[in-house]
Amino acid sequence: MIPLVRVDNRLLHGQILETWVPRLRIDQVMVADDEAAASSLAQAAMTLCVPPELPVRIRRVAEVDYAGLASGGAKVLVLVRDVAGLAAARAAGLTAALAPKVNLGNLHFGPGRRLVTPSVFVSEEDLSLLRGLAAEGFDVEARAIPSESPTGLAEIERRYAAGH
Amino acid sequence: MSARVPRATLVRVFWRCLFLQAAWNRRGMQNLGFAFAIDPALRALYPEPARREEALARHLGFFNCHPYMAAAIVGGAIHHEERVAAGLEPGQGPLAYKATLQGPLAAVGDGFFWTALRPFFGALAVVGALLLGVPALVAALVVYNAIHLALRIGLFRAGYLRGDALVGTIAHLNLPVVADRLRAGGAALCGVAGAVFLMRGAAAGGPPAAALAAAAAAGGYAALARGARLLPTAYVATLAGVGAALLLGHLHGSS
Repeated sequence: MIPLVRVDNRLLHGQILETWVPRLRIDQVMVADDEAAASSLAQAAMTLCVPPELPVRIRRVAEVDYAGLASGGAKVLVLVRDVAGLAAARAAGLTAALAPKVNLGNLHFGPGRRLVTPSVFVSEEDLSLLRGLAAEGFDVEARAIPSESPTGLAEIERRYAAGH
Repeated sequence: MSARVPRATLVRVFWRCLFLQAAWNRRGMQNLGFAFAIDPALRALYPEPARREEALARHLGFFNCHPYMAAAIVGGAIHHEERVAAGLEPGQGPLAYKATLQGPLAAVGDGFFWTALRPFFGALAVVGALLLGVPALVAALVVYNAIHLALRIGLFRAGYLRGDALVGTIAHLNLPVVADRLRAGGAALCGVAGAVFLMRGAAAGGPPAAALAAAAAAGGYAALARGARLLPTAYVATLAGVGAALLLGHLHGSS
């Protein structure tokens, strides 16, 4: 099963390993990212930072068997780099029925991006993709770590509209 | 001409790494600190103002890592900048290096320094302060920072000298295993501190006061083992234990 799909510009780092993995009792991490899948440095570095009992696989977004992960017994956290990566995963077969929970963890500042939570900046394009995913049944929220209170998509939209 | 950063400049860059978080901000996080740290090296590598400006501008993008581990990435970025200056790789090279390593090394640093080494020395300082007094606190701080600075210097050197092979060097340190031992040691030291408190409590307020404090500690431990949140539980257990012991001591004294 896939208890959570995490969107994080930094991919694998401490927030995920120290908080989400124990909280959700995650057994495996699947990093779905074309750039990381093409980089031996990224693979070596990600292998370095996880404990031996937590297997991490790194695949191209389109090459992940999402249905297989969802139907397996292991709890898999799927990690994508950005909202575009999330949309690509959706196009490659990651449906709301397989993995309803989507968490926006860290999205960095860039041109046209506005702050909606302390760690998440979104663009108009991100919002329109997220709206489409929410309409399909994905439950989208933003927060860095599980002990924070989640910010839902409606509130994200409101803050973006009011944004700076 | 092969481009090399002079040794004195590397020392200066390392010094500046210590101020990585001084200009922390939401948009770029440690970006200004990183650019400030690497600037002397860029000045040495790019005498031409236009190229220097271009190099500095590329290091102003988002960066965030564990502040100690970041020294390794600054070192590695200089390794790559030397290659860029020599025409061996494009300007994108140092950026890919930073982007790839910042997350994983932050995770390693959080796990080793923040959840193992620092708590261990914190517990050591508490036990030392109880048994030996204030000088033990100073000694614990000095030793902690000696270890942290030695590791930070070593990581900076490994990044600079080895570039991408830095990951192998860090893997070789086996930090997660060392961290597990430090956490176990820190927990044992906390137990020692608790025992010293109880024994002193028993000496001052009589055995029933110590028994009440021990019962509060045991209750707190049981709550934590059942999944209660750490800080509220710790405060409640401490207040209950100290309050009960004080009350009993008061009754004991006034009777």
